[in-house]
Amino acid sequence: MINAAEAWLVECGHARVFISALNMLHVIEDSTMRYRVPLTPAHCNSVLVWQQRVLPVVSIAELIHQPTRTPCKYVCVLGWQDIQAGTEYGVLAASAFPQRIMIHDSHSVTPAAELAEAWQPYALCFVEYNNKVVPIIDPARCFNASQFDRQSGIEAVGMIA
Amino acid sequence: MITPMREWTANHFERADRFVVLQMEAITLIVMQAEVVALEPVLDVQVMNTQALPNYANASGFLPLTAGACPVYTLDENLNTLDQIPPTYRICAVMRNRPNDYALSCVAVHLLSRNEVSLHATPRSMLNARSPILQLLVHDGKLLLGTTAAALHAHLDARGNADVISFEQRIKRIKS
Repeated sequence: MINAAEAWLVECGHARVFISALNMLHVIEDSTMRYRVPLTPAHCNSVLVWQQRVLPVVSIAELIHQPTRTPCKYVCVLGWQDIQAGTEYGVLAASAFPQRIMIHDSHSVTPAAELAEAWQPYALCFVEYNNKVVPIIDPARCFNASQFDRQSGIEAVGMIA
Repeated sequence: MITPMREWTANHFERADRFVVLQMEAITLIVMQAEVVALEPVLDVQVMNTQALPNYANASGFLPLTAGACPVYTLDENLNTLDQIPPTYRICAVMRNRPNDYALSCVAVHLLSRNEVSLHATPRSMLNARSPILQLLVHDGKLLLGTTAAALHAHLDARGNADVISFEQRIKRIKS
């Protein structure tokens, strides 16, 4: 039985999350490889050109509607398995270099209702770290949500072939 | 059978042999070569006469072409139109969108062949059905935003004709 696992603490302004060490592939200092894409949702408005791939960059601060002015100097390349699409990649923006931390089952906590509601679409569970409740997030949920379309009620444009 | 517009356009990008890169200050657009009719120097752009061309109120100026006045648009990093063309912009690409051809002012324009670029779908978390950015392309490690003359014109037209009214006014209009 697994009762402890390694995870990375990623901070973006006041927002902080844990990512399973299995999902974290690479941490790089933000560079000219990051490009802004116009008319995209605030939480995912840039891409990283990395190893011949174009990966979406998500801001966890914007994802939970807590925008920050703290510059995100680092980007964390994540990878996960999708049943249909195979290996998927995405990037989290970070304002500080992520910390690698061992998390134990005993750290698991029940979050306050407000925190649970904010992270509910993306969190797998919550743990207590340095007297703060921090979610462990599922990257697939963060990168698959087209929040922009849901908010504006836009439907896909179709045409007859 | 219904095919998403985005997929349909992506197939056209896949089949194109040559592309035109429209370099602007903050962003770089790329279109298929067949979408560009001509290149004209910015020096030929004349000041916009909004009374003579009321439909092009958000254009930066116009080019007096043989076919008639062609509006020139200048875009910022959010694809909003600018009133004036910045001094670093040197060339205008006249876009094929019959009968409403228009021009985009650019810092520089250059050609790329199909084998010099790689095509990438827009990530799902970034999709916006109203965006004129239909395809992401990479050349030499740099991102290029793929669009078409028609998609960009629809975006510019939507901005120019935006009916900015209050919520109450809109309800009144619907009821009347």
